[in-house]
Amino acid sequence: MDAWCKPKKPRTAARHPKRGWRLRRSIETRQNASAGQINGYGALCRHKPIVTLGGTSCMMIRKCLADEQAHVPLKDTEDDSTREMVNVGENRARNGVTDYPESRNEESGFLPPARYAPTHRLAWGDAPDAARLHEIDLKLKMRIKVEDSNIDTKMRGMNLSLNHTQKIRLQRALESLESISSGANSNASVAVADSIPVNQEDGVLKGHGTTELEGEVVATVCGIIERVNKLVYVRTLRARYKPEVGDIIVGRVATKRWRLEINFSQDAVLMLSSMNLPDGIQRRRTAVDELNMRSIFEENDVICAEVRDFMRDGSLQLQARSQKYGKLERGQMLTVSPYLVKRRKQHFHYLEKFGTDLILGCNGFIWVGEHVEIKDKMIEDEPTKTDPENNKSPMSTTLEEQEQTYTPLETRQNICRIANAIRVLSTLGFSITIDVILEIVDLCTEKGLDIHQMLGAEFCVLVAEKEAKRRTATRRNR
Amino acid sequence: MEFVSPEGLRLDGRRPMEMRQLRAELGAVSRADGSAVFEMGNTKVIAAVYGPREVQNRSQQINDKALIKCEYTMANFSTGDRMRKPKGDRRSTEISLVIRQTMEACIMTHLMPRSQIDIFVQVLQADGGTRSACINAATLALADAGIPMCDLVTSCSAGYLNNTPLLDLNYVEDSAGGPDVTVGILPKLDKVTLLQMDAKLPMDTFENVMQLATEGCKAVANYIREVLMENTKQLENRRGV
Repeated sequence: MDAWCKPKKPRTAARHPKRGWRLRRSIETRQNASAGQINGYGALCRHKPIVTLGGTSCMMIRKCLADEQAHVPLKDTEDDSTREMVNVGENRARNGVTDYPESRNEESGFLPPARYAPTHRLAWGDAPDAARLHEIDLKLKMRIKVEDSNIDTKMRGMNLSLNHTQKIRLQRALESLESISSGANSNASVAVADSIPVNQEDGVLKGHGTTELEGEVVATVCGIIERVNKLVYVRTLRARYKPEVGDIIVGRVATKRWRLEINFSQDAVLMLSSMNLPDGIQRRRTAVDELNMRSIFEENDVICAEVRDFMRDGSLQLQARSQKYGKLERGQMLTVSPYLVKRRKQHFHYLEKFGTDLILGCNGFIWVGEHVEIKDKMIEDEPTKTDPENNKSPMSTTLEEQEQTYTPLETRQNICRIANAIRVLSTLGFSITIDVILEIVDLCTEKGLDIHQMLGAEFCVLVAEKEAKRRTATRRNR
Repeated sequence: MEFVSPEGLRLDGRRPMEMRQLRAELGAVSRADGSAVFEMGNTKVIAAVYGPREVQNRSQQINDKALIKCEYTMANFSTGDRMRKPKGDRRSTEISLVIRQTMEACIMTHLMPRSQIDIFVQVLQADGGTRSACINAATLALADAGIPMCDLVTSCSAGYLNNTPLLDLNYVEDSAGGPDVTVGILPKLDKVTLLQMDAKLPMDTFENVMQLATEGCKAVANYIREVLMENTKQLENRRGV
């Protein structure tokens, strides 16, 4: 024993493993109560790859198993049963059973985890021959594949309890989606620190998400490589919003400063001078207006505006110079990942059928609200603003005003229906366009589902299937 | 105590150069900009990243780069004994600092001036190597949040018990009192960003142990890359045209 590393007397050597075991057990029995019962074998299965090595090591394992048996309460350690369990494990993996019970059920003895995959063994000391390394490599790949199918049915932000058929249907729909789009750009995706293949002779312009390292172009974010002539950049998927001048965005007034929260790395500025004040006239900012800020916008108000320009320090200026911009009321704001909303000509939509407005903000904030007639509101606004004293007293709510603040039940239901359609699309990660949203709302009414059922597992599967069908159809048309 | 049996197997049945099973999952926290769960055997860690966003405390704002904050906590139920003092002890402050410094080395902060990035890491199950698992989880979460990084940071620990270098120590081996070397590397740039050891080791042995840990880091990096790639492809395929 080396003097340097002489272990201290382990303080609780006898207790530790047990404690560890107890912890693991409680968690696993909760998680995985339904997994296959292979108690007592889990610990053995980890020897699987070693068993394949050859006679001598096989003997060794058996010997060590026998040793273990002396102090480990394994249920059954006969060689045959061991082999059988190994086979079961392999079959499971081959059949794509996603549970991986043999890696989870390790409550056999006091021995800690059978989670330890042999796949990350390193070539150190006893250098393994190439064939063995290759085998290990293959196993690693297989394992990753199996886990992928597990991820497939997992949705961001929504814990769906899918039953078996739903799971299979969803998986099939998602697979068909994958097969449709994988043809277009199959090898264009990169992860962080991957080098991007470029033709150095032509000269390269490095765009967003790239950097240079030892003469190579290297990605700094995960995403899709895009090439425009000489320019090479990486288009990120799940990232914050990157503003461009002219984008239509929806924002929320921040609680601390008079700024708008827009899902960018900084809050944006909407100057009083660059918007139409509610009484309809454009004017320069005055001291009075500044003092009465709260009468115009309050904290947490939702506002629609347009990106005007960047200031020198990189912060953002907005403008709201038309009647369609401004404060949004009587509706819902939804937050989705900005990569799901594409820049279009039209971001304001009036859905006559439902009597609602829909604003798809480029920054991933989406507004669904009751339709507002722009011109009518202007006229109505005039008299109310001229006598503000009348307005402020609480008793003076006129009949007209009540009508103004009242939203009929049907419209409210429609708003919720559209909002839920967007929620489903965003959890599935489908791009959000007006056509798709309307299709899904139609699907919901067609099936006669309630609004709350739209967030359930069944509707989610239906939407995925519908989208798969739609995309195959559009592809055929092309 | 015998940590490596004469047959060359460790207490949990691994070989000395063998890592525990890795598992990673992205998007575990729905409200965060990026999030990940990372498991190394029975060690399980969840990480969430918020930002880049407006700086919360104006006086801390840096004008030419992003401010990075990190908070490490251990869940009360993560260890064998239920923990009493959950927050603000020295150990977690130190690990928060370590994670922050390691991540700062790879995030390209100059691209996001006047903003703030928050990294929250919580240990759900502790079975040795929480430090490494936290760093790996934080890397994944940052990549998921689309924050530009010059390289992935990956980390792995190694120890030296019974005259054998051991990779990726678990709790029992960790508490045996031998040396525990935690290494964090940038695999592409081939640089070390983190190196911690709380004991003494002879020079030549240290080199062996350190190299073993570095190899472990590279294996982790391969796995993380694979996970990120798969996730990117999946997002793009689902989005459609």
